[in-house]
Amino acid sequence: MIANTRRIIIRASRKWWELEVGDLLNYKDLLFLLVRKDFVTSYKQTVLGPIWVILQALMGSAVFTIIFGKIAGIETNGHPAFLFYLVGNLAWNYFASVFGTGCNSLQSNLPLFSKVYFPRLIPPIADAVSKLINFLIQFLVYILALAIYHSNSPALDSGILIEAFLLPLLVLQIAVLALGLGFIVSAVSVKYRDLSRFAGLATQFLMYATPVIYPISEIPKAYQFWMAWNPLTFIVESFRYLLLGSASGCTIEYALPSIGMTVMILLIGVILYNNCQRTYVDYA
Amino acid sequence: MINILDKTIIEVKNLTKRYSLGSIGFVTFANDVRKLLNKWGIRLGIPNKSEEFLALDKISFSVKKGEVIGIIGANGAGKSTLLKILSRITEPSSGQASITGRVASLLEVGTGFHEDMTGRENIYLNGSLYGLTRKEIERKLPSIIEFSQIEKFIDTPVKRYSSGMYVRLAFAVAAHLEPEILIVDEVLAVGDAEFQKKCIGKMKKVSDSGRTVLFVSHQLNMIRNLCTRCIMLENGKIKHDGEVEETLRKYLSGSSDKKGIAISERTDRRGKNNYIVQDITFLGIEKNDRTILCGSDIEITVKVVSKIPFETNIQCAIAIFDNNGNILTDLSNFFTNDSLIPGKQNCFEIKCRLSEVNLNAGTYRYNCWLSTDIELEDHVLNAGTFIINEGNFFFTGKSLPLNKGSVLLNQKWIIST
Repeated sequence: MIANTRRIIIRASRKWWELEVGDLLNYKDLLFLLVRKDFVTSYKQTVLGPIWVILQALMGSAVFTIIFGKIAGIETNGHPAFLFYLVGNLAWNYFASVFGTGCNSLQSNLPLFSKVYFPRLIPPIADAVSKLINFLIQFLVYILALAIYHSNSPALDSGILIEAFLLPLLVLQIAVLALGLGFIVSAVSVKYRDLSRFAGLATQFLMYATPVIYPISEIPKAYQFWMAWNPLTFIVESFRYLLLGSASGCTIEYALPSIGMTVMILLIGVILYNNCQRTYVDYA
Repeated sequence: MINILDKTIIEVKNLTKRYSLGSIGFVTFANDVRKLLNKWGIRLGIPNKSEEFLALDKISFSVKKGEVIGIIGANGAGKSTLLKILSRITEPSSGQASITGRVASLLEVGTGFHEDMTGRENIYLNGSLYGLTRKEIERKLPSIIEFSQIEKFIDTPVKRYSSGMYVRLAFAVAAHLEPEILIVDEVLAVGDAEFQKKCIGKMKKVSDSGRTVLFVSHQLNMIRNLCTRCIMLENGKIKHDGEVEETLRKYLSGSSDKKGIAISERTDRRGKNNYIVQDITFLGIEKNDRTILCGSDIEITVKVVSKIPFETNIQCAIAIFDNNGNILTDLSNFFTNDSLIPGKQNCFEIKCRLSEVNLNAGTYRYNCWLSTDIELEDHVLNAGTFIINEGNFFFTGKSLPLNKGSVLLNQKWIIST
């Protein structure tokens, strides 16, 4: 039981920096239970269950291989095109799914938010955690695909580096970035729903602005500097570096702007979201 | 040591909640841009068009530990807004409230239940939403399951539950939150009579154990049974705060404060007001006067003035309340399918005939409502009162004692062996 001497002051003039992040710790069990709820309920009433997630990875990468690899002939750094796209999709799909639900963090939780108080950051964080299961499934798909490629051609140059134990850090960065962006969209679209429409379009655009279907080395040098400011550039390129063995975008020149942007987006997102959730139910 | 009962546990100071009216669109966007530019010192010629409404207007009160406070008031008086702010669901616009201790607010039972999960899983999820830790829930689990009386189905997904089982489970969790401060909206209005009894019993226990309860209800008898103090809100302000009976008297007579004012003069009406109710009269048909007897026929006349001609059906409704504020019935052509088409006249009368009116002697209040099929035109709460005098409903010369209820039913008794 929380100490009964706890004193809550409810007032209007809270400052934007009062984020009450400390309260999150009191509700860590709620986070755990929401994640478990997602696990328990996500494949209810589907025939194929998690196979859909496997299909998403395989089909997506197959389509890219045919269109961008075979037809458009985009260079894939000497790696098998299918594996190249599988890794790109692995990072991108996790980002897109967390961002997608993050955009509706306030909206989809209205029935809860209008009836009971708890830190409003908990449900989107729980979403990001429970999306990890799909990420893990697609990661295993990649491992399997890589093993099959190796058994067919033992001379294959692509493989997982030992440094891949750092991958969870990149996954964390994806989650933070996607949540930050999602918070911004969710907060602004409480009043102006135009933005949530725009977010769908922007996601498509962002994928092409991110080296998912091409390696950063294919981009003219002059543009590479600008590409570095897209935080996903460093993330996707590093995924390739760790999981395929080589990529040119996993350097400090890409890391710094990427991490900087991610932290900034997270801060803006959390502040906007937090200021918005205080009176959100009045607008809904 | 300070006497524990004297400890102030909730302190509300100048609490104000402002809502902006109107829909969100280009105007609100222009307003936001104007505000932002003003902040930067740039002034444009965009007029300020936002309209605001005070749901709570500088409310102050304090609550001591162990008090059970009823909050009453007409719809729109600000009760729900007050509860929402104290439960931290929304923030005040200004002023503050400080609360010492853990709050559980039951604005609904079964919040966050997921129908694909089992009863047990939902207990955990629901409990943790209200701030319990997993350990606490584990400890209370046997008692929660016992209270809910659905041991057999506790590992079945709740979508297979009957609605009764669902509510029992949800309330069982709520009943085990054991907060220092319990905030209850009219959740008790759901469920059957037996369940309501159980809820009241539980609330009595909570209040007897020295916890503090804030309770919003329209059911004045429940307030009478449970509360030690009662606050009456009106138009976002505290109209009265004090002893229960006294506040209830104020509340019930509050309507007669307006007795002197003709309906046409009332300004607290809602709706588009293209039609305005001018006057409502209740006449006994036999003698054609205002003395109405139990069991006699009544004619209700609603005088309406309209600003624009309207040639489609309108709906008129008169809701009747007893002296305790309980709604008895709602008369409306909506139920009877009688069509009322005003036509081009800008002044007309709607008449409603009731035969053998089966209300006991007493004073009754009514609200009136007028709408087209699309929009609310005129709605006046506590529009007036009418009196029913003792009559000969049973044709025996006997009448129902006043404390035996306000409804009379035509009845025939026989014996069979």
